[in-house]
Amino acid sequence: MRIHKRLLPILWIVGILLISVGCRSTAAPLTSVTVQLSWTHQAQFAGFYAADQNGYYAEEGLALAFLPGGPQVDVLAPVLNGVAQFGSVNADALIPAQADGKPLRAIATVYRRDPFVYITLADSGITRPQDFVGKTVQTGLRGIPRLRALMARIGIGPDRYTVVESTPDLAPFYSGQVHVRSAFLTNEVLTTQAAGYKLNIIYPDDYGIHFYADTLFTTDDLIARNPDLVRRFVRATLKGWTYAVENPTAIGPMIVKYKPDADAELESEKMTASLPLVNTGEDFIGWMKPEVWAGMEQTLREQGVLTQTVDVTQAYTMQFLEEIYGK
Amino acid sequence: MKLTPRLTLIFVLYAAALLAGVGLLAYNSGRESLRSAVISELQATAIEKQAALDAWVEDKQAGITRLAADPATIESAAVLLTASPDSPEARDAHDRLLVEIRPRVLGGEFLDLMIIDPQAGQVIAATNPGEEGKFKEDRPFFINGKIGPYVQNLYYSVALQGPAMTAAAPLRTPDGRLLGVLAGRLDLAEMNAIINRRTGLRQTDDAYLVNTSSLFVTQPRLITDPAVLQRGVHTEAVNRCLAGNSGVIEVEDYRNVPAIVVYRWLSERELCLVVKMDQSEAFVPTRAFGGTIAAIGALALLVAAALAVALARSLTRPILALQAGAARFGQGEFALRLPETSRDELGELAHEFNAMATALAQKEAQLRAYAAELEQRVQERTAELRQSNAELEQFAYVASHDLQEPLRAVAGTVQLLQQRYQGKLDARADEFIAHAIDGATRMQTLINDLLTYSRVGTRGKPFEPTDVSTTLKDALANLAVAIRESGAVVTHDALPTVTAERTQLIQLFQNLVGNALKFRSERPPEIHIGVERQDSEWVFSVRDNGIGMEAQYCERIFGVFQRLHTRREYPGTGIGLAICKKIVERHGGRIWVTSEPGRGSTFYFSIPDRR
Repeated sequence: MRIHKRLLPILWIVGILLISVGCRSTAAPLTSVTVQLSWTHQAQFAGFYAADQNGYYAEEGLALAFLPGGPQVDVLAPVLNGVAQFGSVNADALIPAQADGKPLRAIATVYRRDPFVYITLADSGITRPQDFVGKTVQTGLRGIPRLRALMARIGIGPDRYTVVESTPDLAPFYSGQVHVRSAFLTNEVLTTQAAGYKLNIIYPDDYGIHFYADTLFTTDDLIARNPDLVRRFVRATLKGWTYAVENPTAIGPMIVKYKPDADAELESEKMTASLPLVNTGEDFIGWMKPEVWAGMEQTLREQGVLTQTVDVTQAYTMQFLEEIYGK
Repeated sequence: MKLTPRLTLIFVLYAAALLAGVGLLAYNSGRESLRSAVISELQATAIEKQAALDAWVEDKQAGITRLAADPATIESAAVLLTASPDSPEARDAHDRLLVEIRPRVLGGEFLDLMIIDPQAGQVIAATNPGEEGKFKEDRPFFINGKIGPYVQNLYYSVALQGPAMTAAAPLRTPDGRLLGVLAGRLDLAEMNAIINRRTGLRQTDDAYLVNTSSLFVTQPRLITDPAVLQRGVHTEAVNRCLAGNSGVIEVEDYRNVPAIVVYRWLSERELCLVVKMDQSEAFVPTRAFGGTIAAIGALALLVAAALAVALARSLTRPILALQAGAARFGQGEFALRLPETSRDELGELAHEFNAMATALAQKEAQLRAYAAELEQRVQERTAELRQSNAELEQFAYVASHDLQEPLRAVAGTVQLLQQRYQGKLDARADEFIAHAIDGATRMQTLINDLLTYSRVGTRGKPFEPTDVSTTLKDALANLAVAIRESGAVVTHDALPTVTAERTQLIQLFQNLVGNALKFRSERPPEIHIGVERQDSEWVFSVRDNGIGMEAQYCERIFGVFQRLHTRREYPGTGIGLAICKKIVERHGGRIWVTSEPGRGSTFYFSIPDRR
């Protein structure tokens, strides 16, 4: 006992030293990192928020700043010109960039199933793309190649359905003026469901059209110059996504910090809705497959988005995912 | 500390340490064996679950294989796949095919069944109409199902809005040509049931599967919210398991409750199987066991304490008896003997003690006898001596007294001779007469002194308080002439009153001061009478500045007729100091002298203070 009493002050001192050392290490200057988001703040970026607010970035020595995206925002440019170090964008935007010789590269993907779906009213009887024949489909300009690809996949030519351009207004859809509407699983789908409509959801993913969405990317230069920074960023982000998948209801309140007028409950619902897209039960969160990349390239090429063959293996790297997951 | 409590304490401590050690050992071994038993149980459960899971998967695979081998199914599929789409034959074949396979779904073997075109990967017939027309070209069950029976591990099915596993088998013509792939989704509720099926009566046991993303694949029993593919589990056991290991670990489970966890990496399924039980429950029997051990230990300690007290007492009782005996013996109870009941060392000790006591008693008796005899002899001798002394004194007194008479006659006659014939006879006659007178006179002095000496003992008067200073004054008065002639200075301290015989005390001082005057040097004598109180007696001193003497004579001079000088040098009988000695001794004191030749002497004598 006596020894213990004598040791106690020493342990105190050691403890305090350790704590102070610990404090110093966490107090070390963090590396500022900016991420260009593909859209305005919402649950779509839940993993970033969780990593930021749970201190995962800080643990990796990073201080995150977010640049929100929007309808008019070029997501690639800030990363290219160094305003942001990382970006989040649909993978199908990275392949044409590759074709244009932009030195960008995907490092992980959040949505391994495309959140870009088609919705029809439940009582319309339209449950499959095959049912689009003779119907009016509403989709955005950038969605048209995908729709064409999807229909081509099931052997239906563009002349057998009508395409109209999307507007934010959902009234034409509700009224049956347009039969099919492209929608983001975490946005319009929830909005329409919240408005009391029962929907059929048609996933392009079920029909051989596999697109990655919200793919993390950076420049070849940063990968070459500071792979450690990239690894830390990816690791913390994936940890944030793991947290988000496991705690979807915790996400809503987090978003309020970035978007004060956000509806926390709605954002949590969005997170819940996107769960199967992030966490497919296969491989690992953030994982990418070569065949999907090849498929995307093929689809884009077939739809004329690409005018030439692109070496898609230059559009992404598995280096960081493999390192992080030890595969 | 006394022996009894010390012995008791030592015994009790020893017993306690022993019991604690044995108890701890027993408890630990009990806990360890219980742990092993629980681990074995969990291991067995894990193995059983894995086997059941494998059996279930194999069963499904066999089921899909059997269905794929059914001739009717093959025939309809062949028609459907070869006929042009939307042709009546195709529709007919499609419907027949569904009729063929639907009972399996209705029977619950599969959630749904579908036939997939092997080239495009498109579903051409499905029990769930929603699936028809979809593409499965990239699904592992399709890719592998083209080759042989296959079960795809768990994944999230968007169509089912939940986790799914799919079994698939190739549809082949009798000649082996691939017609398509038959796939059926498995009802994971069955798997859940297998994993959750419980065997024992435990409370906190649980088994669950976790996929590579650390998500629950089956519903853990102790979580009420839906957890499958929604809730992650990042326990140490799961982390280790997902790293491809199997083993046992005692860590906190998903509820952060300490548990014994057995984990198995099911590489074929790419799933982690975890079977666990809370430590608190697993070790419930150890707690009871520990309680029992503690109770037994406490009881044993109690008994040991009682035994220790008894043992200590049995050891110390004879020792205490021995001690008491020795004490009483020491206080004089020599007849005391100790009981020699025990045959051990203590008995021997008592025996030795008794032997010693007996020997001591004998010696004591002998000693007493000797002492008595000695006393007797001393008394006899003393009496003899006293008698002879008395006789001698009497003789001396009588002799000197009786000698006086004839001597007086002789002296008187000689003096008459001198008076009458002085100068009338010849010169030699005068000389002879003078010699005779001188001898007679000396003889008288001698006899007087002897008489005085003998009187000291025989004719003494009783003691009474005597003022020494007046006594000294009287003595000095008697010496007045000599003092005056010698020009001596006599000083003295303040003198006390003592119990003594006054006349003898005068004699004492007179003799000592007289000696001091007589043995003076060329210097005028300086004599000082001092006194000092020592213990219970007064010590008087008579100091002079006379001729002194060698230390070797300091004893001799107190003897009768002892002289250091010739009569011619210093007149005297040589009896004065003997008288002094006798007087002092009669008063119960001592007399002695310190002296140095040429420097003077100091005579000391002591008189006990009898007040």
